[in-house]
Amino acid sequence: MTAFAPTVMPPPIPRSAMGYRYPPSRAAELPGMVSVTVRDLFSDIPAPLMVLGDDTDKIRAATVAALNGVDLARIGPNDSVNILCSEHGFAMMGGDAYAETVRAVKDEVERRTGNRKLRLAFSSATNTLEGQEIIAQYKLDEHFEGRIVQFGPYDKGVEIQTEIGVLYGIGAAYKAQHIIYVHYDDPRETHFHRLNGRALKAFTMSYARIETRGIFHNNFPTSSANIVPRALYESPFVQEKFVCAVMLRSSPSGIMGVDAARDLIALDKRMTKELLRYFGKMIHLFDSIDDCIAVMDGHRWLHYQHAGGLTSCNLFFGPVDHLDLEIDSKSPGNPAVKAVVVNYAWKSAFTLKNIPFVAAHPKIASSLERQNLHYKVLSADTLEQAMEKAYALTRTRKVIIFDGSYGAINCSPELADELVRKAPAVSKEVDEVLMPKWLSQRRLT
Amino acid sequence: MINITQVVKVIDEKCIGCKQCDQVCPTEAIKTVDRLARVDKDLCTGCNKCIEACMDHGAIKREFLDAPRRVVTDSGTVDRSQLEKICAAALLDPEEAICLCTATTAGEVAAAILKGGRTPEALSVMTGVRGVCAIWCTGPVIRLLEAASIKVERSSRDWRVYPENAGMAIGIWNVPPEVADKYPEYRIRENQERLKHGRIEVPMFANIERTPS
Repeated sequence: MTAFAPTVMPPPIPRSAMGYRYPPSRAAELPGMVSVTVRDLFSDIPAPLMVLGDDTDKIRAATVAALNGVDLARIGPNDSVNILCSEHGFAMMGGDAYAETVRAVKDEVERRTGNRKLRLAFSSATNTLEGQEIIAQYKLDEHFEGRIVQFGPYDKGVEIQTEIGVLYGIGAAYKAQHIIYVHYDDPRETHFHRLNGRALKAFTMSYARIETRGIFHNNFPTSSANIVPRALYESPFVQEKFVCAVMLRSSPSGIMGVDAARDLIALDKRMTKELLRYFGKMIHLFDSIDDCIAVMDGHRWLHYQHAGGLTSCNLFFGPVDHLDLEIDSKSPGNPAVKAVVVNYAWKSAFTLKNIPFVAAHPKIASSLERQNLHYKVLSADTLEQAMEKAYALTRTRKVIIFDGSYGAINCSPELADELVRKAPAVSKEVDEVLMPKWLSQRRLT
Repeated sequence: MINITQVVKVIDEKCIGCKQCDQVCPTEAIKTVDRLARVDKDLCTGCNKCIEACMDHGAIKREFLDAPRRVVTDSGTVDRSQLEKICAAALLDPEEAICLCTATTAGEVAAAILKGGRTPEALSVMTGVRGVCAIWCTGPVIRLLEAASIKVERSSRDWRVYPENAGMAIGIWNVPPEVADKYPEYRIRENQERLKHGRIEVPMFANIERTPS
């Protein structure tokens, strides 16, 4: 077997009331684990602007440069302005890049418009405790001098007339004359948005009431569901407030830069082309894995933890090609995932029927069982013991670690070997067969 | 169906009677009377939304139960044809889960409707649906109520549920033709045609069943 590089140190895990028991050690510290770099797998994925540990000055400069091309003249010095941001952006590569994008947008808009009352409108995924922790961690309250409004999906709604009927946004998000949409391109949940309007999805999630979120997921097939955020974005209510979008851009290798535009549809098209190019191969490589144990060891929700810049849900809901808009994107769960070992995650009732879970501590096991009737949870006292149980249960030594890493995948040598061996064929198939199809289906050729 | 392992309790001296907790409870287990929140533990599913709503005051705490309490409505005790009729009108398969957190099926909720459940809150108490996050299952619950010809009504001051358009009013089945044509990238006409002939599969959530003829 090839000799591989040592593991890379993933982003640190901040203490959180949302999480399971705080881990005494990281999965990357397990004896025998190695790493394989993204660019060793796919050399055509460009070098990133920023990797973990870099100074965020580059992000600030990229944000300012991106905003240079955007007309902010409609913002008066005394107007009310909400800078919309969403919890999930802070899950990307430790969150520093997104936090700096948010802060830089505030500073640059303030400088150019003279408006000293810019307010951060912070959306939590499920509850406002997330926001409290993140705002403190990145000192956003100091940066915005306390001008922060937080909300979750149950907060008071606002009626929005759209081309498909009345939908409900979160009142607090839209309670301003102007909104600046500061978002990110993390292609988590390709099984839902299919990279067919991904930049718009937050209008039907982060900034929408539960009923509107439900319409997206329950009342539309995935290849059509993005009509819901599109209808919200195109509504006179949103358009009257919408100043611009500022988008943090990423690839499996790291943070690529920042894009900004008044026209979110044009920005989405640019972004989609690059996401297909940057992430398509990594998604397809995950789909090619024959069997593995997934170890969850990141600082966010179990299904949104990254390995090689790609979220675990892309593995869990493979090996279906969710980027192919001609097919339904239903996946009962990837049969290649033989077990999930949980060392750390934020608690969520995420369902993976038929896949055994092994908890690295009894407290994690009891919490997982309390949340979900369908988890099959085995309990261990340590991560090392949990791994031994998973090995015995699955009879595979191929391990992939979702710990928030970009630029590399921490894994066992057995899996590294498989990834390196399969990457060239995956690359060729994406270049010659899949990419032309994906682009054509999205009218992006 | 839900296994309830914890409920909540109010710390009276910290409660200011603001009713924020009333506005988020999916089962009406918590109600503020005479400026003091009160919990009916038999109704509480332990979803913790009231704890979150009260974060500034810290007047609500978790209380673990000695033994889990299971809430379930047995769909075998109602007229099966009536149950199937409600599910079909809601474009849902009776056997499929409509609630990710509790795995409560469309059939169980339809059974609870046939047993007298008339509001989202009553159905939560009877089946556990909406008993954890309540984010994505509220819509299908309203679809099932509408399918049983039950209209959910709320005053404008009650934001626990916004029933207007939350059920069947907006879906792939009724996007206006001019909208479908304006945004061809969303393949709406194609999916509407498919729905006439069979179910459309949806990841994680319940599939959309064929439109009844």
